[in-house]
Amino acid sequence: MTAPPRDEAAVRKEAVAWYTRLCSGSAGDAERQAWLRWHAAHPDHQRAWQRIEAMRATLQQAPAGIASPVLRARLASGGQARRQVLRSVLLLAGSGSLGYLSWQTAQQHGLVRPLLVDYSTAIGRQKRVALPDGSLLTLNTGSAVDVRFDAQTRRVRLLGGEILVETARHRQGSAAPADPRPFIIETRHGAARALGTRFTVRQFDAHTQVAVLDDAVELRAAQAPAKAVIVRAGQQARLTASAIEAPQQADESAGLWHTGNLLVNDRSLGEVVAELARYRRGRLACDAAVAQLRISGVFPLADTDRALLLLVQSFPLRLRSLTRYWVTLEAA
Amino acid sequence: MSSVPLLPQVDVTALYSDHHGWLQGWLRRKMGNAVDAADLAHDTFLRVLARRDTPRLLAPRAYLGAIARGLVADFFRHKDIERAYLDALAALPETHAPSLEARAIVLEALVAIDTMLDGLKPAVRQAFLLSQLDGLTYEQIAQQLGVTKRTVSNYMCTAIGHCVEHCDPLAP
Repeated sequence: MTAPPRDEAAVRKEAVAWYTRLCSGSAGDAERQAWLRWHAAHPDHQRAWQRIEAMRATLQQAPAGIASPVLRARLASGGQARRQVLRSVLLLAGSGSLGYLSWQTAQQHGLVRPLLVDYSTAIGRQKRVALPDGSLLTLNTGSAVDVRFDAQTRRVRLLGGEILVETARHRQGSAAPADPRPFIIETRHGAARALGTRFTVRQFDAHTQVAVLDDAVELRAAQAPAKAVIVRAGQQARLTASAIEAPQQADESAGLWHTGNLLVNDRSLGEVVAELARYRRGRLACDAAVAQLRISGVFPLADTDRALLLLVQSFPLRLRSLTRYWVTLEAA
Repeated sequence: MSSVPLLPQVDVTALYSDHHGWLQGWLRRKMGNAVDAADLAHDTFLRVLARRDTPRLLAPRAYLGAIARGLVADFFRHKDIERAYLDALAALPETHAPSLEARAIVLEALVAIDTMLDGLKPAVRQAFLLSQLDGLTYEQIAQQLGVTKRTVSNYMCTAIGHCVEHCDPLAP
């Protein structure tokens, strides 16, 4: 995966421009998706974005409720002028939430600042993220989430790609004190509320797929929130913005991607190639003549070159590549 | 400081014996008291010791003075933020008073942010804080500052670019 390096100053400028746009308050899902594509497009983009994240980390060390008035009051010269500024900003902020905000940091509360994508992965990468309540998210290739925890709910917004969710309750067992706040994964198409549990959520363009590995999950479509459908362990269901399909038996390989391998048991080459393509930059396809070939095997997701090699070694196939980014499998 | 590789002992020793008195006097005039001056003079020599690449000093007093000036600026920044922070805490209901330890942690964080913002024009700084800490939209910031949304967007671009250059890339 070696893309030619990009000019550092130019990339940094792009990162700054993206962050500026995303913070405006008028950036929608389309803009976030566009950012996600930019972020995934080049390793230099990810390196530049780390600087943005370092900046955010510096900001998040201090409690927002007190940091803003104090740092703004710094501009006022003279004690009295400063106290006046402070008084007005503190009044504006209202005293309700200010108490704990005066010393606990946003991170401790899981109150990550508005906007933006909190966690993301590049193409071909996976990442594990521990949430403030003890739950664990695993992001699959090319994925992004926002995390919003507040006093009422624990909310994770899946902006694109796929995640595996293991709630604190599931990880620690019922002996651990239960967090009364519901745990909800949101996508463009609706919401999945954890009842337990361990499950995966993958967002496609027109639908979201939820596969439940343990316990159960309650689904609600975005445009029909009154109707809830329960999906139980071993089941999966598709959800569009307006409807939820009846749960079916889950694929036996559901959720296995987090082990770093693609487990294939008698599936068509076309399906396998489509799956591997998610973990690889550029175009990966197979010739129509071999698309129906039945495949079984275990393929490493972190190294798709090796996965392709395994395919051509085990099946009557060969690789035709114009460049590293344009690869086709065809009959040997 | 045991892990810091020391310069040839003679350099620092000579530097210290020749200029410590001068530095402390210089700092006393800046700070207005002997205790802070002694602390900062001490810190200045610690910095010199910690630097691996101390150049051969043609103008040792200018060199010491430059380090000391930075420390004085940090000192006043720290004091100033501490005062603003304590003022803010005083305005809050007493039940919310954080522990001394919590205060120290918050104060460090505030200083780190302020240092990162150092050098920004007041309006730019204001816009940045309203966006990043208060979560205001550019629309709302524009209203509050009495400028156009486009100006806010330009302010933000400037501030973010500045912070990206000046933040500690190793921050947690």
